[in-house]
Amino acid sequence: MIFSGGEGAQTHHHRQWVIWLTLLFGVMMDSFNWRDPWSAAIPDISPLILLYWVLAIAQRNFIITAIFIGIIHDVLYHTSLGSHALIYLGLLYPILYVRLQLRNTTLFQMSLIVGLWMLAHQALSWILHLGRIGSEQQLSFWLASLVAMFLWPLVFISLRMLRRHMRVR
Amino acid sequence: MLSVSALKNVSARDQWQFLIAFALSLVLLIIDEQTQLMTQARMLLSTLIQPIEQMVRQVENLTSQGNQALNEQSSLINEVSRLRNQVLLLNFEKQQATQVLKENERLRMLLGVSSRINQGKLMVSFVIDYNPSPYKRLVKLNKGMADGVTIGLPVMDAHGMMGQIISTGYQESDLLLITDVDSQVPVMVQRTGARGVLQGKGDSDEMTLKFLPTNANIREGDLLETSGIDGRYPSGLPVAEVIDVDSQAGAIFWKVTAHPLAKLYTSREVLIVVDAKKTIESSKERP
Repeated sequence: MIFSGGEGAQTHHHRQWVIWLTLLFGVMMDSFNWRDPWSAAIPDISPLILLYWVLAIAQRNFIITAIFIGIIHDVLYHTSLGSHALIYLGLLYPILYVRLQLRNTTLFQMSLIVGLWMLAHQALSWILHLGRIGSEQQLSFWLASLVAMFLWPLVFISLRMLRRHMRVR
Repeated sequence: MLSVSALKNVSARDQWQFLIAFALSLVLLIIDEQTQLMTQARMLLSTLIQPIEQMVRQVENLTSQGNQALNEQSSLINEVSRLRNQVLLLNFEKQQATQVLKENERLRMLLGVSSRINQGKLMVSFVIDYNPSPYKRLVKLNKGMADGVTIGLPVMDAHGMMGQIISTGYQESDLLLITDVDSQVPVMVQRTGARGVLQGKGDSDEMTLKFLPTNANIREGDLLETSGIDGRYPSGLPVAEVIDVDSQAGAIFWKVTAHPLAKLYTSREVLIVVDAKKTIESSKERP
């Protein structure tokens, strides 16, 4: 099992700040401007980080976290307040149903699922921000799901190392 | 397919929380889309995440031009900056002179187009960042409420109109570029005075000129300038150059594509037209 860490049964609720710190890092990555028309191909990192924690910490549902991150993205991207919160909630809900099963898949399988999940993210974003993406960024916008698929192992492994090191439960 | 065991992953509490959260987000979205009630809240949130943006900007600057800046003498930097501002203002004055010449020409041709070119007070500002979002074409400027920047002020570079301020922080403001889909600029063809509305397409270098009737005279290479009709932009500011004119049989309006004159993504110094509204009012008083 991928998630079988060496942690004891003791809970460390005071380590929850690690989750917020990683999400802050994700938000910073998302607000980084790569100054390139292809930058739309870089997927939003914070939803990927949120996904990791949803899978890793089964005791929490992360609904409030999703709203919080969504509103930050709305302010950051100047989109209508609540639009990203809706997207993240819509993506989080099905994951809550299957997260225990997802934890038992291999990293390769999980990457494929994350690619599809990100495709759903892009589709929801595209619908909610209809007509806002210019023709020159269309291709890179949809490519983001593919990039997310390749990025997932890196996100997953580094966050797992961090979680085990910091013993976040 | 969800098995029965999978359903246990989500408790009734989770479902309720989700429903409430979803409803709240939806209400928030509708309020923000339909009313102006969230403007203050957005401004507050924007100020709260400003430290994050500033941190990221410092990393961006380090990666892009850090080494270069370190090697230069600070006095040289100041001098270059001063000269750049001067060149910008001189270019702008030159541009104004061209505008006046064109205007005279038009008046002489008795087209009846009267355009008062008086740009009012100008404020030099620097571009400090570009918005990373693919949904909005925004630029962050280093002048805010503290400097007298308010929502709606037009912004130019040395080449033409860049856009309009859509939100202001204490020391920063956001400029909505004319290429954004939400941007609409009332313009007229400099050569003939024919009027239309220039709308962004979300692309970096193309816009569409709408509502220009097919009986109006327009051709590739024509310059488009603000007509000043809506009162948001002063009249006579150069905006774009026509790059393609197309018309379908039986169509009422031309299908015109234009290219912005301003260097939207490379200009570092821009001019905020501070008392634009006053300019419009005074131009209205003069027949």
